[in-house]
This record gives sequence, structure tokens and C-alpha cells, in this order.
Amino acid sequence: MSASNIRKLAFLVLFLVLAGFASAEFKGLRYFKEKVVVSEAFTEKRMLSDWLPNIKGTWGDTPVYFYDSGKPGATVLIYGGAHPYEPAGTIAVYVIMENLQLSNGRFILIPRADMSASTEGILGNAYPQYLHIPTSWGQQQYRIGDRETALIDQWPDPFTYVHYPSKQNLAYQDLRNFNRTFPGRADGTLTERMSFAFMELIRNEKVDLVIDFHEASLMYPVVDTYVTHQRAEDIAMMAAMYCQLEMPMKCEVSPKGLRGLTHREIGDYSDALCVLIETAEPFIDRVVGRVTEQLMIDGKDEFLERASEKGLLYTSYDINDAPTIDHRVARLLTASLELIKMYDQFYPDKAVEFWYPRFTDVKTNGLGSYLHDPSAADPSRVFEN
Amino acid sequence: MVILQEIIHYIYLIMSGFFGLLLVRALFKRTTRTNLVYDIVYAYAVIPFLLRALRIR
Amino acid sequence: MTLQTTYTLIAMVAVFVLCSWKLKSPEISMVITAIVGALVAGFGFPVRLLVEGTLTYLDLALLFITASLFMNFYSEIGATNALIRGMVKTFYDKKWLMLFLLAFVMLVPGAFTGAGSVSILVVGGLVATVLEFMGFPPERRAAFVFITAILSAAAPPINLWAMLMAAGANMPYVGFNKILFIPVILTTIFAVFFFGRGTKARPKSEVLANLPPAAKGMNWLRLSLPFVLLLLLIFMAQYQPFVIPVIGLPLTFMLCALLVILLDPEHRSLKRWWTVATNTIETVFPLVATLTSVGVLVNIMALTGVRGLIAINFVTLPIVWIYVTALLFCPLAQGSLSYGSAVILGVPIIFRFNSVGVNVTVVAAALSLMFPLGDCLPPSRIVGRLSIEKVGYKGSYMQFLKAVLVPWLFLAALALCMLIFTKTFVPLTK
Repeated sequence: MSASNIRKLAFLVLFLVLAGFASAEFKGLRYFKEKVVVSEAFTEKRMLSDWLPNIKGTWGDTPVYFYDSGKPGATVLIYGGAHPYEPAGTIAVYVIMENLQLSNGRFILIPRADMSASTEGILGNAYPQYLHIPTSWGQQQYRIGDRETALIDQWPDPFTYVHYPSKQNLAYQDLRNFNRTFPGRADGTLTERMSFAFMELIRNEKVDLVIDFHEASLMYPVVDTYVTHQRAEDIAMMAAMYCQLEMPMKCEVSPKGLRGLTHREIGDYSDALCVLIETAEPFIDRVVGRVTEQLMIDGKDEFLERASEKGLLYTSYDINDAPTIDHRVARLLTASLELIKMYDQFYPDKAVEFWYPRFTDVKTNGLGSYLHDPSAADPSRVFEN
Repeated sequence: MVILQEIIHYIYLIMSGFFGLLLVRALFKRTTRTNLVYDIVYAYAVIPFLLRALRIR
Repeated sequence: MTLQTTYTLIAMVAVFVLCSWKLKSPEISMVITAIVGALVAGFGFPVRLLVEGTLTYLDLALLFITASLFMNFYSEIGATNALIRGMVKTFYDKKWLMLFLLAFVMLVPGAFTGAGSVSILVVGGLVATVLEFMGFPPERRAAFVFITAILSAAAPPINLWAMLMAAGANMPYVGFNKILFIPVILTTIFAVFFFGRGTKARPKSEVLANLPPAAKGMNWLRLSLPFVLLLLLIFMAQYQPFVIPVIGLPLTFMLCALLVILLDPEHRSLKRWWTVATNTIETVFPLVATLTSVGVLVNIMALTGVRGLIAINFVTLPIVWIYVTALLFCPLAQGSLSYGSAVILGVPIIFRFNSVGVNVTVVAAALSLMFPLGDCLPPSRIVGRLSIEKVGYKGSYMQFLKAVLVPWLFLAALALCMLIFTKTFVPLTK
């Protein structure tokens, strides 16, 4: 072999070794399992593929947790992780799963709505792979994923995404965006099928109220806000008023011309009421400085403070009292709690009696105090996602 | 339609691998840009094609 | 943080300039810049993020490779020459008609795919050859191809920048057709007259005599079928998306390339096709390497906060200063972040204008005409490089930029007018 070829081979091997190190990290995230200790109210775990068998065995399938009091009352579906780079949604669902007490009605909880998207980070945004929540027994580790279904699970993208069934044109990558593919198609792409499975779950389980947890950038007008289908407008408006006792909250009605979103399509294609909740996440603003786990946890960023001083943000931002992960999870908890309570008032014959921690609890005691140690828990109550 | 979509997905993975291997070939057998700098560039340009073909990222 | 990020940015710019000068490879310069940026910012050598960056634009790289394969296969069977011969025979005597036809041919592929690079790869070579016959000097040929390519990307129905901004701002991608079509057509008309001025075509008989004879067995069916299939698949994906699976552009081009092999009147051997494929990889490699490298740079710019530093400095400017500097920031962002520019600068600007009650569809349309202007600017200059390589232009890059300048300024001025006098353009969004 010539010297030139040996040199080329050496470079190739060097880069393959580097790629190997990176691959180990990619695989680590892909197969990392988040642990959750379910509360006494838990009754059954099913899989999303139960409602659409053709996603069984794919990365689009995801666990669905039932908490059934066995007594009459509304069925409430709460899910997080439609966009896994907004992890407060998933963690808030975990907090509910670990602490829910239920006397009437039924909860269906899905922490990872788009499982595939949670197994890879966003290309070009240099995200850390995990975030860690301190607890009294150690650290609880969660994935920080992508906005869209992973390309290794759904590839190729079209050159433009035509939404089913409205035929509205959307950016090509939105065909992998779980919150743009509703109401979905039974024989569509993986993400469309996941959305369709959700619709089937909602229709077959006769869900009354759907709550979709998200986080939003602070430069995005729809931040710290309920986005509600028009049928749930009264409930969301009233809930927003009650939220003010603990935290500011806005309310907007889902625009009818913007298709594919849960708050539009679930409301249009099922009997359920649907409300999406956005809380402020500094980490995903495009103008922030260093993209680190620290920023994800403490939300402190100088550039964002400058944007705030210039009046460019749609929610208040103080670097000394920034929206930490505790704060963001806490917001989602109270926002969802007030929605359900308001639902009870509007539909007293279907009232749900329940408890889980709210904003003030989490702010006072810390997020970690509501996450239980899986190694010390009854193994039958520990699940992995 | 689902099966067809799955077949297309695998065609893409194969395509990515095929072009990755063509780049490896070009690293050793190219006739233009033959200097050391481009040895390095060719060597790292292979990475994304192979990682995608192997369904790693 | 601001100070450290500023140091990092300065270090990165210095390293990029130095490496580009010493190593004569923009690709490796971008990767070295990224590595130095990470080191200066205190992130060490972040292997995962460097490797992850190489995948950022993989789809675009596949698109470049497959579109080039298709066109090189098409040329191999003599179809490109036959097509040029046909065009020269029919339209050559009518200069302006011919030029408008060439511009139209350039506009179509990009308009329907959102990528100007597709226009260049599919018809750029053909257009450049005819322009050569028509007496266009090399830099003007490259400039014609470049300008029509960026116009094709900006043209409706698919304008990727506008789509990305609409997605980021949660607004539907509607109301963009007229407001994009009119400036694109106006600039096309201007560019055709500007580039076509004072050129003297070679006599038709001489051109026809110098063109290679049509390949044996070549006919209109063989010539047109690959393009018919291409257009059919693109139109089906756009207008009948629920009856076919998602094929994606790379596979679309591969299918067209396979059809070319089947239509080959001379039934070339597999070995010959293999040679064409390997040659294509070598030709298209600088672009593939650029995409791989720019992805690494973009990832590290995000990690270190350099991306945020640039974005925050732009969006916190007073609105008047945004008007003044938009034509600097937007194209430069495109040069370094490619389509990421629309998300990073475009979306915050839309919110900024939205907060003062300006029609954001007009703003998004205006910005989506500004971003493509940066496709000829460093560090990536993807479409600029693609243009000069496809045209076979060997002169200096600066000379090419000079040739591009006037139509570039025309489009820039139109876009800026749209941004400043938003109200005037609102009726076009209805």
C-alpha cells in the first residue's frame, strides 16, 4: 500500500473512531429509559398501538397509563412530550403520575406522546442530551429530545408537507411534527399514524377533556397561555382567571385557519374538549447564549434579559427570578389543575375528584420532592419509558 | 401504503450507505483535489452517510 | 457571557479567514473554525456535537448528489445536447424570447421544490450552454444562473424561508402566492434585460454545426419522458399527496435517473453507468463537503452562543435600524446558517414587527426575498458555488459577485421596499 493510501486510511479510521464515540452517545440517548413510580391510583398500563395496531413495534408506539377510580366522572387525558425539547411537559406528567390521588372519574396519562422524537436531539441546535432533577435520594434523569419524530424512524421528508385532510401547505419537516399532523391518517406516515392512534384513543375511550403540555419561547406571543378549541373557550377563560391567584396566565382561541394542531383538530374531529398549555422556556429561544443543561435547568440568560429590556418578550423575564425547570413544571400543574376544576364546575354531573401538587407546592418544596426513588419503591409500581 | 412507505424508508437508508461508500472510494481513487487537505475533508464527509445508513442518527 | 461570546466570535472569524487563506478549502476551514470556537468557549472538543453537525444538511447533500446523477445520466445518453439543439433550432433567432424561455426553465424546478439548487442541477448546465452560444461572457452566464436560481427558490408555491418563518410564528402558509410572485417576476424581467444587454449571439448555423450530432435513436419521447416523470412525481406530491407515499426529492431523482438508463438508445453497459456515477460524486463533492462542514459550524455557533449573540444584536436594534441593516444581516445569516437563518433571524423579526401592528405576511415575504441574496456569500456560498461549477466558470469569485450585483440590488431594493412600505403591499396577500 502506498504512503498516500496509508495516510488516507489513517484519516478515515480516525474519523470513524470519532464517529464511533459519538454513536455511543447517540445510542445511549436512544435506549435510555426514564423511570417513573406510579401512585396508588394507577390501574393499568396499555400501549398506544392498542388503538392502531400498525404502530406496534415502531418507535411511534408509547405507553399509556390509566388511573381509574371506578366511579363515575369525566375522563381526562393529559399528555406531554409532543415536542420533547420542551421537557417540562413530560416531567409535569410524571409528577402527576407519581402523586395523583383520585376519588372520582378517570385520568389517562401519556408522558411521551412522540417517543421517537424523544430519542434524538435537534440537528443544528447543539442540545444537551439529558437534564437532571435533584431529589433527596439522588438525581432523576430525563431525555431532552427533538421537536420532530426522528429521521431514522420517518424518512424521507417531502419537499412540502400537505396536511391531511385540509391540504394546507406547511413546512416540510412538520410532517414529522406530532402537533401538526392531527387528526392523522391510519395509513399515513409514522407521525400521522401516531396522531390517528391518539384520535382513536380519544374517541374510543370517550375522553371528555384533553390537555396537551408544551413549552414556548419567550419571543413567541403564545407563551404562558392556554390555547383552546372554541368549544372549551369558557372553561379555559375561567381557568386562566383562577390561575392568576398563583401565576399570570393568558388564554387564546385556536385559529380556525391553522391546521394540524391538537387544539384545532381534536376539537373538530372528536367530542372531547381540547386545551394546549404553553409555559415559558428560555432554552428554546433562538437568541439565547450558551446552550447548556444549566440553561435548561435555571433559565438564566443575559441575551434574553436584553430582549426583555427592549420589550421583545411576550412574558415577563427577570434573570434573577428566571423560569427554572421547577417553575415551568409547576405552571403546567396549576394550569391543568384549574382547567379540570373548571370543567367540574361546568359539568357537575361528570365531576372529577382528585389531587396532585400545584404551583405553590412545587415552588415551596421543590420539584424533586414530588419524584420518588425507583430503587426504593415497590417494583410493580416502577415503569420505564 | 404503510408497507410502501417502509420500503421507501429502507431505500433511503441503502441510498445513504451507497453514497457513503462511493465517497470512501473517492477518498482513495479520486483524480481531482488530491491534496492532503481534501484527504481529510473526504474522510469526514463520509460520516453522516454511514451514520444514517446504520440508523444511528 | 456577552464578553466571552464576543471573544469566541472574534476568534472564530479570525480562524476562518486565516484557514481559508492558508488551506484553500472553505470546507475544512469551517470545521477548524468550529473546533476552535468550542475550545475558546470552554467546551473542549465536543465529539458528539461535531459529529452530529455533519448530519444537519444530509438531506440536502443527498438531493445534490441524486439530482446531479440524474442530469449526468441524462447528458450521457446525449439527451442534453439534443435538447439544446432543439431549442436553438426553434427559438435561437428570437433573442429575448429565448432568454425569457431560459429564465422560465430555471424558475420552474425551484419554484415547485423550494430549492434553487435543484434548478441549477437540473437545467443550469443546459441554460449555461445556450447562454454561451448567445454570446454571454462566463461570469454573466454564472450570474444569470445564480439569480434565476435564487428567484426560483423564492418563487411560489414553495418558498422554504417563508414556510419556516410561518411555522415558527404559528401562522398558516397562505397569502404568499401573489406577494412573492410579483417581485420574483419583476426581478426576472429586469435580470433578463440586464444580462441580455449588448450580447452578440454566434450565428445559428455555426452553433448548430458545432453542436455534437444527435445521438442515434434519440427522439422526443426519450428526451421528454424523464422530465415528464420528474414533473409528474413533483406535482403528485404537491397536488395528490394522499394517494402516493412520500417519495422525497432524492428518490424522485433516482427514479428519473433509472428511467434514463432504460431509455438509453445505445444500451450502455453497467460499467459505463458506474463510471458516470463515480465521476458525478467527484464533481458534486465540494458541495457535499460544504454542507457537511457548514452543519458542524452551525452546531458549534449554537452551542457557544455565537448564534444568539448575532441574533440578539440584530433583533434588539430599533425598527429603523432593522430597515437599514436587514440587507446586511439577512444575507450574511443565510451565508453562514443556510435555511436556519429564517428560523433564527426571521421568526424574531416577525414577532418584532407583529408587536407594532405590521402585516406579518408581507414582512415574511420581504425577508424571504432577502435571505436568498446571501446564497452567494461566505462561509457557505452554496448556491453561488453551485452556479459557477455548473456553468464551468473559472474566473475569480469576486468577478462573479460583480456580475451578480445589479440584479441582486434590484431584488434587495424591492424586498426592502416591501419591508418598509408594508401597508402598500397588504392587498397582495389577499
